[in-house]
Amino acid sequence: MIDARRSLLLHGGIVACLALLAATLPAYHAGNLTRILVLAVYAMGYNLLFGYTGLLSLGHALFFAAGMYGFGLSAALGGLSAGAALLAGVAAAALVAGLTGALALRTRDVAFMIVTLMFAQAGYLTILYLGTWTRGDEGFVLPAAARRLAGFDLRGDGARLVAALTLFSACFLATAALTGSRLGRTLIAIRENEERARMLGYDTARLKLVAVVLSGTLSGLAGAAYAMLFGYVGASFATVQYSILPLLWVLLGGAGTTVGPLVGVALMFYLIDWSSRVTDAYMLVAGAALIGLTLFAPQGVAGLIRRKAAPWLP
Amino acid sequence: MLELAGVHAAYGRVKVLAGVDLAARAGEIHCLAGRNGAGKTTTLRAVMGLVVPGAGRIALDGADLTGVPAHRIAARGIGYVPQGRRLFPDMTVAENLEMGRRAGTAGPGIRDRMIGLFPRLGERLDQRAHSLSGGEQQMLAVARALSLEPRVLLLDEPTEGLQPSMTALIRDVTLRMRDAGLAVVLVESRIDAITALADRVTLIDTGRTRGTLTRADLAADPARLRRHLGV
Repeated sequence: MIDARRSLLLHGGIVACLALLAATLPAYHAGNLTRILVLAVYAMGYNLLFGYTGLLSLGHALFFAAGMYGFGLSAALGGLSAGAALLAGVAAAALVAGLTGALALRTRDVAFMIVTLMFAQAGYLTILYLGTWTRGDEGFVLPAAARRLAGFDLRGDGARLVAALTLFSACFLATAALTGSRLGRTLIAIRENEERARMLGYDTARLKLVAVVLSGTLSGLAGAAYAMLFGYVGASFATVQYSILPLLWVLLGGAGTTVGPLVGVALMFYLIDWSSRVTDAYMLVAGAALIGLTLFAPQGVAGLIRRKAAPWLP
Repeated sequence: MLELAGVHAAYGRVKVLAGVDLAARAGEIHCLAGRNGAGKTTTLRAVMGLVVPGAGRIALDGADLTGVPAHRIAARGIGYVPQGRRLFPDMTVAENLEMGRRAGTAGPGIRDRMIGLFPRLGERLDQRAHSLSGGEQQMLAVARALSLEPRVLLLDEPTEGLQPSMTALIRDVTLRMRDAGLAVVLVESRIDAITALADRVTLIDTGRTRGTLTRADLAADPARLRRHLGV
């Protein structure tokens, strides 16, 4: 009970701090924060599958892109409102995640990684192939109507940051509740020892599919929100780079922790931002930092805090 | 209660079981005795659906379990404590027990009953399983399996590597479960454990059943068990 209260205070406190930051940060950093919050939702989706269920996917760009293109195509070509297009994006991601999960979960370990990677590559190539509608590599810019939600024009920096913060807070609190729930504990049990969970009577095959769908849906929501807030839909978001990034964010922040995705995205974002001002070889700096972290804090920043100081950290 | 008849099983092309027969009754401790590699653990894994038998029949109270998915077998009332404990290491003691309870039909009160059996666990409820001693981990593994409220309990070398006081505690709990009416199938290779606990012993060698001994048989010819185990 004490841990539940601490958890509530922690998550509520983080949301309050972010709101304070959003209100006080200068324009440049406020813009960064908007992007970080949306990408953190993507990382949270990835963390559900990798951090909590123990399934390492290399194909999450497929779900992010499914949400993004589901939103973008239904708004730009179908003429749907932003709210309806958002639902269409989320539904597209859930459907793609369900189909991918049903097939990819017939494999495990390295084969699962390869199969998910192949699905994502197939998705990327499909986007290029259907260039008549998707505009291929070039992508397309969304009309102004697709960027108005509940009367707010999301082209303005302030409204965009408020929308990103609202989305992040809702997903952050929902994933915190999920990971503490019966379903969340069972997913952790699968990560810890799948065979043992099965012997205790849990249908691990079904539960892993549920985890893929939840993870893919949240990733798709992030993709749809990214399109809505930044007004652009492009094939670059479906490349393998966007499958690797959430893995790095989660590893850096702390896999299997609720705060890890936010910490990882923010650290990586500012590490690249800072190092790119210092040197052209900024990815080398980012790579060295990641290697250092893997060697000295393999559980990531939040994982390290949990191990050293706060074992109750969810 | 639990019956195996002519069970064959293999890992790929390697035959491990080539005709195992066993009948464990309610209220008895039925030992499965054999040397290393005889097929004892594989027999338990076959009961749990983790190895699919190539031939033969496994039944619980007459209902066929052969081919039933592993996750449905526990729900039929079979608890399994595998060799090596297999806890959820990053979960606390309380969470491990809760995982066992939720899988079955027991109410929340089962936790207090488990703490009654293993008071040490009550002092460690918020401790993560990986930080427990070997004996405490074994207590937790047994308590978690019992949290399902099973009718049959499968124990695979539960006292292996434990200090004498822990061994005595696990044996005491095993006897109490037998007295409570459970059918306990105990894999053992130690003669002292078999003679202290077993009501009946099924001898297994190279994947085949080589006979079943009663307590009276063991008393009449103690050398037979020694010969079978090669000690």
